[in-house]
Amino acid sequence: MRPLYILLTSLFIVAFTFKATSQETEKKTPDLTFTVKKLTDGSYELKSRLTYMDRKIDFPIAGAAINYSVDSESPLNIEGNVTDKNGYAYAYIKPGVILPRSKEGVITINATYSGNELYESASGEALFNEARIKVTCEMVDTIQTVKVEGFKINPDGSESPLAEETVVVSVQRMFSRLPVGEVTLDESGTGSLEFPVNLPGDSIGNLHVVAFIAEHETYGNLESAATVQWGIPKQKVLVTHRALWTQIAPLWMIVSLTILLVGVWAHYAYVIFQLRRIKNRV
Amino acid sequence: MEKTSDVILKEFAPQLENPSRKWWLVFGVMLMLFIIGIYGLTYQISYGHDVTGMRDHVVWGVYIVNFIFFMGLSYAGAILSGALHLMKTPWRKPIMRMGELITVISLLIGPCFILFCVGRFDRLHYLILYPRIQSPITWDVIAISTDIVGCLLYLYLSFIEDFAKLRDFKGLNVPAWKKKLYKILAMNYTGTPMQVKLIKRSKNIMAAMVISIAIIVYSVLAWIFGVTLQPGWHSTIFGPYFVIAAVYSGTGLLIVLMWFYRKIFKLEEYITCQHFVNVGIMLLILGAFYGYFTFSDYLTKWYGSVKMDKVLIDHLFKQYFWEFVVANYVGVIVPMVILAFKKFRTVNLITFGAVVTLISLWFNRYLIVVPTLETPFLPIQDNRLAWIKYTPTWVEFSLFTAGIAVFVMLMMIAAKFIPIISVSELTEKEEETENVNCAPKTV
Repeated sequence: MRPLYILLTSLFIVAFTFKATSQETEKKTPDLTFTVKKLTDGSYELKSRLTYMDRKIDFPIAGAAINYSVDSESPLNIEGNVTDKNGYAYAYIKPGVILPRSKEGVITINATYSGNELYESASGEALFNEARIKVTCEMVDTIQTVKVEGFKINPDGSESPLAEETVVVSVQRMFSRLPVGEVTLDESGTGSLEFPVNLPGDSIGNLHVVAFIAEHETYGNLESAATVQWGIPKQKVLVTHRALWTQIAPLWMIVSLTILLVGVWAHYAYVIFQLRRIKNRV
Repeated sequence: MEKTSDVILKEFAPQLENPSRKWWLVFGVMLMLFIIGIYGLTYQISYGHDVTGMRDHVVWGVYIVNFIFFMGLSYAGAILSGALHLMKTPWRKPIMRMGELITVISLLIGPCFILFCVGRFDRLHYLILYPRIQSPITWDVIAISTDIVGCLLYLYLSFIEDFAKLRDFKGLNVPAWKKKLYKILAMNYTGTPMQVKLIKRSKNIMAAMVISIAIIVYSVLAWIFGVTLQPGWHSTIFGPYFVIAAVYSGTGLLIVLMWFYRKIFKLEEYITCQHFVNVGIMLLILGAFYGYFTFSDYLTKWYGSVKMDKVLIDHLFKQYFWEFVVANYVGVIVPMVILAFKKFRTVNLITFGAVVTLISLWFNRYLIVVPTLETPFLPIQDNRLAWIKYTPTWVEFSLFTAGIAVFVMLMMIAAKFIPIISVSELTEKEEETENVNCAPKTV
């Protein structure tokens, strides 16, 4: 009986030690999502998100340093490349910086996370041909017209029209973009659409019009924005709330409550006075 | 032949004198439950509300259920004792004091559960410093504090005459400090015609006050739910529904207390089966009203088919099926059947019906509070079952049992301090000949 007891106890201890050791050394494998977007001023926004999956739920990894490189050889010294509490890291390449490209004109940017004692390393890659779009808002025969131009940037730096591509025109709202329409660029790389006249703008009627191409297989993410005073100026609307969010209570409430309380407490005071009379034997 | 107050006091004297071993044993058990509750509270304060079952959605759990339950018992005590006093019902005399004690003791325990629910004690005084009159929570704070003062005043008024009798009664073997206390609390009351008149007038005023305050305060409590745009709560019937449910549960408790005191103090001569039947008939009527209000509330919600109300009712009929049956079927049918048939109207069966009422009414409050909070209007991303589903923990139950233990302890202490049947009421000669309270006739 005793050897069996010792054997079982030993197995038990070994199993738990093994489990504890394996738990200590097991690293999580993070996932790095990386996208590059060309903005209106010609700069590039590098957006990374570092997460790990646990029981089918994505958990962000905060405070992780993301390094960027072109062709895995030329490091880019970019600031602001540490993930925030939601796992996002944003970095920007200033306009005018010439990025190395392949013979076919493809630019490759790599994002890497080197890992630490808790997480494995991770990497992401973005490949795209350089291009740009430009949005302008103008009145054509009293019609509000949004004009979009698209350009491909050739390996020698020259530009040629970006033809047969579809650009989404939208207006920036508080939480998202409101699509206004789509423009298909013609052979000269231009296109236009009639802009609606009934959109609410800010207090002076400004609208932030954004034209963009998202996740294009060749050009990646392109974006161009313009501000134009075509919106209906926002007016303060007096909304009837379904709650009493007023500074002071309504008069009827104050009056009712006062009558009730004064009525009740006056009776209390009267009874206390009677008690005093009882004590003094009247 | 009617007994004099000295004869009755002589009979009741052993109740007030030194506690027996059994008394200490029961008191000790209750004290232990209370200490466990204090340990639970300390644990909760140390580790935060995470140790309770309350989470993001269900922020009101058993604590608020108990708050509503105890407050309901209190208001029922006030309404019953006030109404019986004003109507000068002859059979009220042996049971009035129990009603008055239920009022005050439950009223002292109920609000404690609100404090257990508060996460930020350090901000509690903001309720008084920065009150918003338009907030039902502020109404509740004002109403409850007004009610506490009123009920204490009413209780004291009903005690004065007995304090005077106890002060003057020589055959009472109690410590000197107790005698001294009776003397102080009797406030020079000697029963002069003017004192009797003043006491009667004050009692009448306060009886009317406690009834109206009880109705208003419990309605205010109902409006905290009723004015909230939540499925199951936003109902115009909630005010009267809460009041009826409160009086129903309080009547149940009164019967249970009558049974205990009758048994312990051997009061069969004073609390007869007729008393049980009389209070039982009240229970029957209130049960019918309670059933009618419940049916009316759920019927309109179900027939209206508002999406979230439908979801809530589905939730009640599936996940809370047995609780729903106990609260709304057993709690109505069992007491009604017992009281509707003469052959069932025994002291024990009526008390059993009252116990069923008490249990079912606790579940009724649970079903008002919890399933609604488990049925939020807005869908929330990454919502986990553990954040929605509420399961009370041992901490919450320890404080629940501690609340019951404090109620029992205070009832025991009260019964050691003053006769549980009002001697002055028993010996009072009723002046209510016909039309005595009518306006004088004018020629």
